Amino acid sequence: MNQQSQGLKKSFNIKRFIVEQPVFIIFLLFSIVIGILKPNFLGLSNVRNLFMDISVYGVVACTMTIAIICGEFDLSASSTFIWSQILFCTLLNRWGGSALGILAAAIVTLISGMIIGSVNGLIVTRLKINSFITTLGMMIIIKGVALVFTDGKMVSTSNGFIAKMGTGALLGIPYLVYIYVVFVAIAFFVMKYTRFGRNIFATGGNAVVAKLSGIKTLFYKYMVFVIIGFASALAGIMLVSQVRAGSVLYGTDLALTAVAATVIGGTSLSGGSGSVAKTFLGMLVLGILYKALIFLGLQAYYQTLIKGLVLVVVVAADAYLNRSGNIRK
Amino acid sequence: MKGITKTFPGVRALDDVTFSVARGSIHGLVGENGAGKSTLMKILNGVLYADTGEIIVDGQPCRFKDTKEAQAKGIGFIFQEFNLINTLTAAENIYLNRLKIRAGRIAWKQVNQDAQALIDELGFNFSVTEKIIDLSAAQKQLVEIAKALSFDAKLIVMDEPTSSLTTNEIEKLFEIVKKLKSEGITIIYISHKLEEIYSICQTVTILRDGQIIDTQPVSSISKNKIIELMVGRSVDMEFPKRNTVPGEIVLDVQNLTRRGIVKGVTFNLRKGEVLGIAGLVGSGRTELAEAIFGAEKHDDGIIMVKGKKVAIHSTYDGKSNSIGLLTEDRKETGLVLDFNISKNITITNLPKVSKSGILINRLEKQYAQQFSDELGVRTPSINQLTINLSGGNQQKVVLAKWLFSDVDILILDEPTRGIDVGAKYEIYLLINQLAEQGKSIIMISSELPEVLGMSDRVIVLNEGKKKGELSRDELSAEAVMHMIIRSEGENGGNN
Amino acid sequence: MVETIKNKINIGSTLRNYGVMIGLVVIIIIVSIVEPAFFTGNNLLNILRQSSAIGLCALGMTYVMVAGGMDLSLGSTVSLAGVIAIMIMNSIGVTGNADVAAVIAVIAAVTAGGLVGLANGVILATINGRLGESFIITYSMQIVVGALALLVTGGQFIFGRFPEQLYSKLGTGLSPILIFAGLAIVMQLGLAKTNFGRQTYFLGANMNVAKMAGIKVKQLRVINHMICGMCAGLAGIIITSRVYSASPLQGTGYELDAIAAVVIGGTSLMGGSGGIHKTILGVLVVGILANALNVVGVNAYAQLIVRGAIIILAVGLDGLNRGAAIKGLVS
Repeated sequence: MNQQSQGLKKSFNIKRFIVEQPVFIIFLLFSIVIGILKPNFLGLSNVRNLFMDISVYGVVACTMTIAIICGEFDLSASSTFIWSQILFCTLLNRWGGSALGILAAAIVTLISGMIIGSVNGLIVTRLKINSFITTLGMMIIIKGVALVFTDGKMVSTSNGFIAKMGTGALLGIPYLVYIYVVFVAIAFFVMKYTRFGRNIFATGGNAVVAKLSGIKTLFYKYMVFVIIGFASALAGIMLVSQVRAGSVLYGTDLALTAVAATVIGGTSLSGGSGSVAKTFLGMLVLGILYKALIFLGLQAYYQTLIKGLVLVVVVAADAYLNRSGNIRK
Repeated sequence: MKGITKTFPGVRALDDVTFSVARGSIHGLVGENGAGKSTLMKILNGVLYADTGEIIVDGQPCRFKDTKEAQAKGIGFIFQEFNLINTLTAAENIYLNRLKIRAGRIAWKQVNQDAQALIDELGFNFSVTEKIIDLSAAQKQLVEIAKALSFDAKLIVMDEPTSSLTTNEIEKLFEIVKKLKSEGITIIYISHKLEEIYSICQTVTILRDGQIIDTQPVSSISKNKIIELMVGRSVDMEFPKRNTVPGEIVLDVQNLTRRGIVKGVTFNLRKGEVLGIAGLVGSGRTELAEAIFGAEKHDDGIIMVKGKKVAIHSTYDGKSNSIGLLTEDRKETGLVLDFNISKNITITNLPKVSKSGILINRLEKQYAQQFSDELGVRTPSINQLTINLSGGNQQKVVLAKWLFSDVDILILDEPTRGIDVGAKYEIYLLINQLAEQGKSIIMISSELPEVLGMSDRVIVLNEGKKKGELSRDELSAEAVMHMIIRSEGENGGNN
Repeated sequence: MVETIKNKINIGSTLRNYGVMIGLVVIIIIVSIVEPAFFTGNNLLNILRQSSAIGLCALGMTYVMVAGGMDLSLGSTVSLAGVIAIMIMNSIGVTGNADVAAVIAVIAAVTAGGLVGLANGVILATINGRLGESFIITYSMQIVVGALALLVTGGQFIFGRFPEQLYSKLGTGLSPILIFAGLAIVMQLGLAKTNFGRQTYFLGANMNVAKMAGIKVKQLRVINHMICGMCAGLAGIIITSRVYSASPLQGTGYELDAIAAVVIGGTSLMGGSGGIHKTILGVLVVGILANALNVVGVNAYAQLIVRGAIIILAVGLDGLNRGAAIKGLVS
């Protein structure tokens, strides 16, 4: 009986996947079409670049998914990302002479990201301020801090180790991609195989019922902000290793790209369900789309326009499908 | 439970109730809405505290601070509304926050096996890896039961467990309940449906107006006797008389259908008539009202107002076609509690207090005062925020708001819910007054005596279908109850 | 017990009502002492002039927020409208009648703003979006509209030609102050004294009650968003007129100042309360604060920090106030 029910489950899931993830399917078809129209698009170096590109944002998208599963949201990730690049570059230039110094720079950067996240978390859980407003305000504050710190100028580093880190590869696969994949794998494990992760699901699914079951919902809400702060800082370090500089201009679209990847992957904004693995796919699809836009020779502004439209469409579609689904009660 | 008393502001919900259940029995608890069943059970579950009295489990007095403490004593609960997280699987819901960890990770295989075993043991075969949202109501019920069992519950309270189940599902549930009993688990079974009490309970306790009326073995009490005891004094309760003769047909509803909820309901309503709609919670009463008013779309059927077919796609259409709806939840959908009486009254008909779109303060005050006075809203001023009013007075404001809108057809959904006896009588008087003024009223209520006492005619709904119609002369609690119960039986046969 | 709670609420709400005033006076006094040049007629007039564009945005934002929504696309709308206006001036004003061109430019800019609002409103009404979706959708629209502004201009700064005519008078001298004041009065009346305004309050306070009272909820939502967009369009005109040039990034951050002004004034994020009269006070606070920071010599970057903190503080204060009120109700 068990086997039979599992078989049933599988066929059911495929059908369900197609019904529930129209956006994903559309984008997949889109990238296939481009691949056919411009065969170069699927060339090896291009694919390699694609993965390089999505690694940095992907790390944050992965944690944004966790926040959304928990029913929260973080707009300030962009600014934390920016601040972390700048901080890391600055620290590298001071301490970068030794391996220990590099490690220290990375650790300090990561901790600063977690502190920012923890401030977000405290404001949301203690002062009970809507997470949009909180993180919108924090986004501006952190950006302000970054601007004051750098006086609006770019900070660059010529640290050799970190350059190798960003451009090097093992078995033809860039180091950054390994970091991304490991990060997603850990997140996947935590979300699926630990009570910590499951309680995040429960909190986002129905905080009242979760609380009745003895789950400390406020703690989990707080933690998702710390996690996303950590990931934003990690992404900052990854970007620095790639471009060897930090600037307030790098990554202003990070938070929204992360949301877009999450929704495209099939995690609903209504919370309580979703998966970081799906967001990995969502990020891939989004990466293909963005690459395709460049490949097709579209002007940068058109690219921005399309990115914005994509977000409007996926969020609206998600909300619409959810609401009309709920009507059946 | 001994000598339990619970008072809410203005209402004595439970009055010195002593209630005991024998181990390993299925004990029915019946009573009308508001009789105090839920309050009693919430005290047992630790959601509410009793003012006086004590709970004794296995000879030990206990006092539950919260649900967890009740759980620890082996008391499990299955509410009408499920306490499950929709986005998670059945297995995970059963073991929420207690998922088994092995070798540093959740042993999903074990968790699913254990959960599946619980479900299988109950004689159902659906996969526990399904998400709650994909389960039927009956399956959700099973998950709740399995959850209670996983806590080693010795006593399980089931509150209207069949309200959203189909006939087949109910039968299965009964088998499970009987099985649980044979394993020595005690069940308190709350239901409106006497059929069910007879088919599974050994003992039945009748609760009315916060007091225990009687406890009897089901074998020694007739169905009619139970109904009589449940309805009791309320049947003789004085309802104000009115002298109206219903006039021409103003509303004609034909074959109105909302997929899966309202199934081809046909009825009409006359001028100056009060038409009662009787039926259990979940019978489609509210859903029918929403469809007529335009709050929800209907899939099929015709609505005719004063002989003309009208298209109603929105609440605005409803209002434009002279239909108003007093909703069952006045705090969520009836009033903006932060706004004053005046604003809440005039919102349905702003053109009446404005000139070319601009509000005339003087007109608004004048009308609001007039309607507030006419309905006898007791308040120092119409500038009072509605949140400060008592339930009865709030309801009068909602009525005033619909009178002010000048609609001729008024649907009143649970117009006396949550208000005290004196205020209820005033609402009845107002309803009569409206009917005498030529308004046509549809009255939906869970309190049968009220429907019987107030209506010129009653239609009975069950499971979204119209089950019959009773004229004033035929009206009686027994007739309505029998109609509902009989149709239950018919349903079983038909499906 | 109930009495003391009531008293507490009263103290709280008094503080809340007059806190803004008190804060305003304190800021003025401190800054005047530090920098005497602050409290001069010229500077005060200057503050009003500079506040008028943000003020216009805040007026529109008030409508949307009273209706229970949010418009984060406002900044980009300001940019787009300004860019369109100047481009029209340059293409028509050069050959034809510059005054006629100004009228056309104004109409076009306001229309463009209205269309952005229409898009926001239609999307949100269709998906029946809550506050969360209002945030994300309009934030995404900000990107879309911003990209449009960049596309129209090719990312370039556009200089207006023939500055000395009607259009350039809209943003200089007393006219921006008069435009803001005039519109503020009209919109105050519109919200406080009309059927439309009353319905908007109901919509924001409780969408279900509004729907069940037979109000055309969706239509109302769309109209409010359109009004907000049109206000942003006007703000775009004022800004571009003042400097008689347009940048596609000109309006960046205006939505944040507008939200700050509205919330500081005392219109709740939860909708259904507040009003234009309150927002005017909020606009003054934001305007004076910005000017004061400038006068005292705080650089533009550090001002960002202040802005962000103010938004969080204002909303936090509103939340605490509500929390107190709710606790009062329960007991």
